[in-house]
Amino acid sequence: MTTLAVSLSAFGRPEFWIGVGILVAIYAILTLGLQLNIGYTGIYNFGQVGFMAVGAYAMAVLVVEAGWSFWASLPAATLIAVAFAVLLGLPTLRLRTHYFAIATIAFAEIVRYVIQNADGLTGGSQGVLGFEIAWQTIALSLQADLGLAPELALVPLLIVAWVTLAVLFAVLLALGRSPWGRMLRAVREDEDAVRALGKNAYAYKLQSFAVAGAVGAVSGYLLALYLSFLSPDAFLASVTFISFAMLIVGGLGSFPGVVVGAFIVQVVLEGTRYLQLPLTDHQVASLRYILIGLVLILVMALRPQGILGRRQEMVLRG
Amino acid sequence: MAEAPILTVEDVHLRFGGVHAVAGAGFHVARGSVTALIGPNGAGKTTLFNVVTGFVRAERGRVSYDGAPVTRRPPHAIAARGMVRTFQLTKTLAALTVLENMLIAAPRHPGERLTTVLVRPRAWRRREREARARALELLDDFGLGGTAGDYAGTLSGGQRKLLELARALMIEPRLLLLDEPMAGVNPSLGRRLLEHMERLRAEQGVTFLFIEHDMEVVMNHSDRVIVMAEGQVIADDEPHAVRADPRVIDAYLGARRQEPPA
Repeated sequence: MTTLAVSLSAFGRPEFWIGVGILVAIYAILTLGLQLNIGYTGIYNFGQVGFMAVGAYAMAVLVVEAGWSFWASLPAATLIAVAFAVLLGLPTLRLRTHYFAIATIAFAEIVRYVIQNADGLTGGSQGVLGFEIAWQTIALSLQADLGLAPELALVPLLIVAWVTLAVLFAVLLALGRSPWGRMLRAVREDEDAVRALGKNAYAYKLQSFAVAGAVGAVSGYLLALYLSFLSPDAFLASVTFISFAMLIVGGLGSFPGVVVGAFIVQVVLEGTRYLQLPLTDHQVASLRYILIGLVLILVMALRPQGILGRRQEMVLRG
Repeated sequence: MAEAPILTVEDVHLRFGGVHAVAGAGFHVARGSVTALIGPNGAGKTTLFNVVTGFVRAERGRVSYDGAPVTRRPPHAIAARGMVRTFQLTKTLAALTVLENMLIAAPRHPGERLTTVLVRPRAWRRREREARARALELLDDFGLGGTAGDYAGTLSGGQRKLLELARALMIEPRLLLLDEPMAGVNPSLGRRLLEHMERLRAEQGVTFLFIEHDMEVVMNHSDRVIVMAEGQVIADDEPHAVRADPRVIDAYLGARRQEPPA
């Protein structure tokens, strides 16, 4: 019999925290877009992982198949993700909340299946390799300059991920506090009231969705660099649902809450890898979701507005 | 020569399933007037408001505002041109503050454009200050100055009606369509609302079209009364004449319900 044991030694190792740190930043960026859509605009985007996939694959295909430079591919892939958001949003943002949610789930799944089956372009289930050479060169020289040991090889990516998060966080915070952000919150409260005041509610929903698409694409580039290999399995619908858990734990309407939520949920997700239990890998994978569920229940019971959410706003939104 | 009417509604038809909610309604609203729109429940008054302000598309008919057709224009474009409505059930933005509610209505605000905010993050500050000053001035006028920082969802029903009217004024409207402005408002707030309407007309030449069930308000505060029943306009006259019109009395009492309206 295997004994039930929890080894905490992993939590003392820097590699664990570097890995968690990178994933926290990637998920936080993904969730910033979700916060703009759900917390600010009230549009239920359940397909955020779709933009992450479109961004990552557009970048990889441009580099590997079309021979673009990695740096030129980033703005181009971001524009492609924005174009997807606009094309998806134009017909679907006229739908009421839950219909829109279903349309976005469908979008993300369609993206994943297309990636899986368009072998010629995306490598299908085999995945894509070799898009990150430009980055590896920089990462290696940074590693040498900083005198990092081999087990700290991911520190450069950690730095870039957090700098990117900091920049996007600042941009979204400024957007949220601007009159544009105020208009998104007004649309969330009552679209007809906004229209009656002479403002095009539909255009604001579309803009919010497009910004979320761009932000989702950026998280996709960082995920691609972290995995150094893209496969459709990295973009399951569960990515969006984990992002939702982060959003709810952190609090609707709060950008700092996104970072807090991403940290808590990611530590639970990654920490479970180091529990030594008499369970198969498959069972451990399920256990992680049970733990996320418990965290959600705990937050709902103790602080329904989320850790950094505003209780009064939640009550007034009804 | 009389001035051209500010609002012309011609032969509007709209069915919901089998119900002919608006069945060929038409009327004019004279510039600078206070016109009441009355009629029994289900007469099609609110539906007609929805058609006129672009929220619902009519099957047939024409609406022109200030000399230009607005029949197929979206609601926000109509409101931005100065024909602004309020709702029977107030639509305050509950989780925004009272001041934010006002600022949402500020016209020509560069800070509401995504590109401006991203590219020139300071370019909108001046307009924001102007809009804020105007909003606070209006809130003071309406006795809501003390609530500027509160969430709009915490206001009483009567205060919400005042906020909705004050917010509409941020757009600098020339025609205000009010859907039951007195409903659910206590008498002293109601008097204030009427005083505001009178003052806006006198000082800024704002035209009013309002749906109302309180006959005392209708008779004492309007220059013209339009009466609807079963989707049509059955009377359009001065208050004292409408009051005496047998068709109007019939419509309210339902005496000739079986016969087609005259």
